[in-house]
Amino acid sequence: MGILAAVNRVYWHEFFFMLFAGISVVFAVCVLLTQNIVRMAFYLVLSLGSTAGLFFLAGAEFVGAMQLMIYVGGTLVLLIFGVMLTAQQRYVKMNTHPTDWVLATIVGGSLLVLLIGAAAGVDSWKDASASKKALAELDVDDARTATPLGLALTGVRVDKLDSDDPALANGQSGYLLPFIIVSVHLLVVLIGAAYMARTKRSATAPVGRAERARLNIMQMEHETDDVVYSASKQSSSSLLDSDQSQAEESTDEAQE
Amino acid sequence: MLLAESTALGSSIGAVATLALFVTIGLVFLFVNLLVGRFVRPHNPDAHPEKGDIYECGEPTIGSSFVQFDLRFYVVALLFIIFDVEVAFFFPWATVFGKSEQLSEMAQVEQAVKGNELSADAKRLYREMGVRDTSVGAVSDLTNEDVYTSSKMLARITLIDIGVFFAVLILGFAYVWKRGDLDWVKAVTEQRRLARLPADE
Amino acid sequence: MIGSLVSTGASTVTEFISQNIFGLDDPNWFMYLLCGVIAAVLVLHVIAVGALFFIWAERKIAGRIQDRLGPTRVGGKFGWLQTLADGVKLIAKEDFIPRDADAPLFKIAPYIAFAASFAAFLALPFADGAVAHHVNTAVFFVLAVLGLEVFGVILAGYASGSKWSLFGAMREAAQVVSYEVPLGMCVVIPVFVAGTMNLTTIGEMQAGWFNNWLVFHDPFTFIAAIVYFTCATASVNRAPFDLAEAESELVAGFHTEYSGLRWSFFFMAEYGSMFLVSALASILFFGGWHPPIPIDIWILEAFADPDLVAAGPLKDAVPSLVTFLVMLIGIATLVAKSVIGVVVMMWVRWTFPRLRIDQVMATCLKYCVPIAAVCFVGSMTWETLDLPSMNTINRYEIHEDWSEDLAVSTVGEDGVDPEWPEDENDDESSEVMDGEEAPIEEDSVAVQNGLSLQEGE
Repeated sequence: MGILAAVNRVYWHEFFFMLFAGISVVFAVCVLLTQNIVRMAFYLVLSLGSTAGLFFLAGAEFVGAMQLMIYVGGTLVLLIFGVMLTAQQRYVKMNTHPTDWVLATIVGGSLLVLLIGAAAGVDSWKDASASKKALAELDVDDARTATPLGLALTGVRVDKLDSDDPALANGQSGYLLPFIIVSVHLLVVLIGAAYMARTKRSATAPVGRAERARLNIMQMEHETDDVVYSASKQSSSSLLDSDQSQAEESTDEAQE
Repeated sequence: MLLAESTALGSSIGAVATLALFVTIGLVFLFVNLLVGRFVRPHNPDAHPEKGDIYECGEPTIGSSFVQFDLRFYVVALLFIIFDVEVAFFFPWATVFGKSEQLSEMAQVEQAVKGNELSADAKRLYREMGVRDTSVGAVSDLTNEDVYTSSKMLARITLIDIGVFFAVLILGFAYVWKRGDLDWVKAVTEQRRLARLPADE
Repeated sequence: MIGSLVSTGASTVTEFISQNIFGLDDPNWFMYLLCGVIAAVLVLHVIAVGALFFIWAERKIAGRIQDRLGPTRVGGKFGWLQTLADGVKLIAKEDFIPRDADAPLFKIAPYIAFAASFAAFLALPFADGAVAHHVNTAVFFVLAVLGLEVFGVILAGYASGSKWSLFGAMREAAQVVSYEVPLGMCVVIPVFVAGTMNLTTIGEMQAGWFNNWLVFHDPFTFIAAIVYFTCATASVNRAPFDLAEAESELVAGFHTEYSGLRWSFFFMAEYGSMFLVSALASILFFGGWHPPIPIDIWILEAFADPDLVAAGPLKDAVPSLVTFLVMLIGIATLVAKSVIGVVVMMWVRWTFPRLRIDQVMATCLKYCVPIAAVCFVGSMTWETLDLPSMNTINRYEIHEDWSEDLAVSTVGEDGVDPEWPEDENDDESSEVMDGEEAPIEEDSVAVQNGLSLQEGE
């Protein structure tokens, strides 16, 4: 029972922090060191996933789940699609030029300095007892609900209601404006993505020059040309092609 | 924090521990099954040179399997990310809206305030909204009417907020739909048919 | 909550095991881990044994729909041991990796798919108190974690080095990510009606007769339930949306190159996810662990009478047994409802023809998303205007589990008696009130932490 008692005194919060932070950092380094782009994506999943674990540990369950849904689930799918769209062959190697390393070190290093400076500037982190207190407050369950988050988006910060500053106490501390800006921002991204996709489509027309000339008029009308695999030297692309032409034929049949 | 100080592990640690435990158990379960199989199953990958080939319906494989994909997949993924972020914003909003509606419902049937004090249920609702001290802003003659008005107002404000948020994005969705960016194969079908037409004539 | 009428004090399976099996109220880390492992393994059985049952059921149902018998021989009358025999066969099959495959990723992919599907179960309550861990944002958590399964499929497709696999994986990725949008929109509707993301609370808000189910809240939730089920079918890759497998054109899609056990893990993950989305549908829309007829409430009512439980050696045992019984009824009900959902998915699979990828995308973007958006706005309006609803339960009387102790302590500080006289509650929801308002004297984690903090300083 000696060991049990000893391990009972393990600082579990610190233990899990170290565990997830370690996984996150190690796989982030792996992303840097590997050259295969899909493996990079895989390591990134693990790194971002354990970052979500850190959010859970901080009691921010909603943010943790959001990290999983949007970064791990969504952005990475996007990333892989990006790889599949641009890559020319299997086992895509990313060879980093030495100057890239220098540039990356400068950018990354300055960001690191900035972050360390910011972290050192937080008053409550300097005091050990204050952070212990914050940690204890974490275990009061209301830290884990997302409702205050929703209220803050509506414009009310419930944690500032008893504040001495009248402006904060009146509920003028929320994030209503950023919330609406986010929606406009998303709108811009949406339209931008659609626009980008469209221009790329017409830039990489699928067919030979003669046909292309014939298609030109139609493209102006439709602008939704889809096939990017212009290099039909590989049978694989014709495979995909036949996949589509089958679909196309059945559509034609359905129309007739 | 010491375990001794937090019964049954603190709640946030408990969540992480359970998550880690579940992932570990899942991985171990698969691993053990495969390990058991290792002693039972045959292993001779070099029995025949063609055994290591990729399956292409019995034909010899042609070309690399790594094909470039259509841009449409990318657009779909982009659309998804945008709407996913939006849906994620819906969730915290939804709890606020629901709770303020419930509060107003409670006030309507005169359950929110009893004897110029918030009832236990109302206090818990406020508590769930994140108000740690329900005595802030308390007035001496609190009535159900007051609670009803304030909670209904809050519900309407959140409604307008999300309405604007949603409307902006639906606008974008409608635009993308109208421009035909949501079309998948049909666009190319149309185009190919039109392209074929001169030849057919 | 109803369960806490005669509370055992356990709110999760882990605590339940540690209190009722080992008799520990304050387990040390080892016992806590042990209880957690037992709980996790119990949940694992839902996937592992569930897959055995569902694969057999699917073959039987498919057979019947196609006017065949399905499996008939192994294990006696209905061939019910067929899947087990298949499992033995799969263990004995060679675990083969093609030459062109990216071996490490090829091996890892099934682990990711399975772990994601399994980890999502940790926030799923099977009844009030029968949950591995209370995640307060459970609805969102389940959706997020379940969405990670797609990454295993993408890795499998990429790592196989096969064209079929890659096509299947890419289609799956596009399909799953797009269907997550209408799925999320439909899930938001019960969340704002209930005002919480806590699945246990949402379930408790549908206690009583079936008219309290959120699907009957208003016409829009009814439509949303149907849209949810459609999108859920698509997001777990079931026919008619099974583009990733697409047996008729892509051989076997993303798992073309997989064999033996490794191949079967994808199926376990798929059946696990099917069960999970069905269980989520039952909790969000179809009353969760409450039977359509309130048997659980009747039982609680019958035993709530203090005269009935005589004093004596069994005085304390009886209430906790009643709770346990009600919990078992709840678990059985939820599992039954989820199985019905899975069977409906099978029925759909063997009835409808497969959709083409453009049709799948059009179904999502041009039908499901707009319909879900209309339901969202409609249900929101319904709620704001206080239009009539079939739900008769007072939802404001049911709270998230954590706020209990905090509210009581706040009231205690104010020096007000926390128990309000309960004269108005003579309807069926009075049990709920009883359970809610009675200050539970058990030491909760939160209160203890608060106390220990005060002592420490």
